[in-house]
Amino acid sequence: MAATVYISESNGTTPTVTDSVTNSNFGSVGSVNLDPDANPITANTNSFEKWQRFKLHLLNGSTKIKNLKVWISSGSMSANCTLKTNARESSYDGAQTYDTTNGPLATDRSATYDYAQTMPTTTPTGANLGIGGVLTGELTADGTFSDYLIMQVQTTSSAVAGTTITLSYQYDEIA
Amino acid sequence: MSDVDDNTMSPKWVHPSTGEAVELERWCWEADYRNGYTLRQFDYETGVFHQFKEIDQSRLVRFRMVCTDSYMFGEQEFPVAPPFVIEWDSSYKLVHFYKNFILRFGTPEELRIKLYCFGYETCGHKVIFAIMPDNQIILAVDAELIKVD
Repeated sequence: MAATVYISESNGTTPTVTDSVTNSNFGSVGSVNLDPDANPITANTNSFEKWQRFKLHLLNGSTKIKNLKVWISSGSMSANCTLKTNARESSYDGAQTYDTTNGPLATDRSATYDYAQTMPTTTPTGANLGIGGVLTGELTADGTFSDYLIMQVQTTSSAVAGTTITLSYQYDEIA
Repeated sequence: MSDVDDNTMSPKWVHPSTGEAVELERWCWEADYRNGYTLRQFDYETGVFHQFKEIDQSRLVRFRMVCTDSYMFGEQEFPVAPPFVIEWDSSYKLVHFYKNFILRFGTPEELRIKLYCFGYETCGHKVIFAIMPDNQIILAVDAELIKVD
């Protein structure tokens, strides 16, 4: 192996940053690696936002990480559920600043944090998550982070239980 | 030979700038120069790890990706796959990177895959090869078209 890259998640107001999260489960609480069965999203409400980042833990001989991508790789949201995100290949709105007053919320703040886009269901052609506010950015030092990847499941009153999707992530590494 | 860890008996390579230990890759590059010298990403003789940017492309005659996975046949060790070789042309600009995938994140089927990508740019177009996990190779004119699901 070469570089070690984690998916890191921030929660709470301080915030608490958890490296190498084990899943991206969405639910009715703002916590990492949550149990979706114990914390279901009620129809016509939103999940708590996820605020995740790629973390370059160790370069281990490589020089940089770039070209970050995230997408839904299997499963599909029902007609009454949508996974919203700030990840986008064009008109990227730059790095979003973490809300240290409230932390992640179940409120729809897509207008404030630019996560009104629907998560793509195929591998993006180009980067859709930035580093340093731009899609062409690079991570070049141990312990550094990408921009925040913000995601939220939004439902309508007709949403039914049982939707399962999986996310995939991708990055290029220059050795 | 490079230093050998007494506990694991596996060779260790050292990053010349940082002194960090660097783990051997499954596929590594080798750059043959016109004067007969070969610069290796993982130099077995010195134990030094070399970065891609150290390759002097103006001196290249050949660029090669070699597999470090091996099997024993009798008392001889053989790589599990033959090397992939690019005979160099002065118009080429070398390309080498890893494309990493974290597929089906957080599920029991989560899979982390690394593709070893290499090739060249010339006359306004790219020729990119990607070595897949099964050591098969695919050719792409645009690395962004290489997708794994």
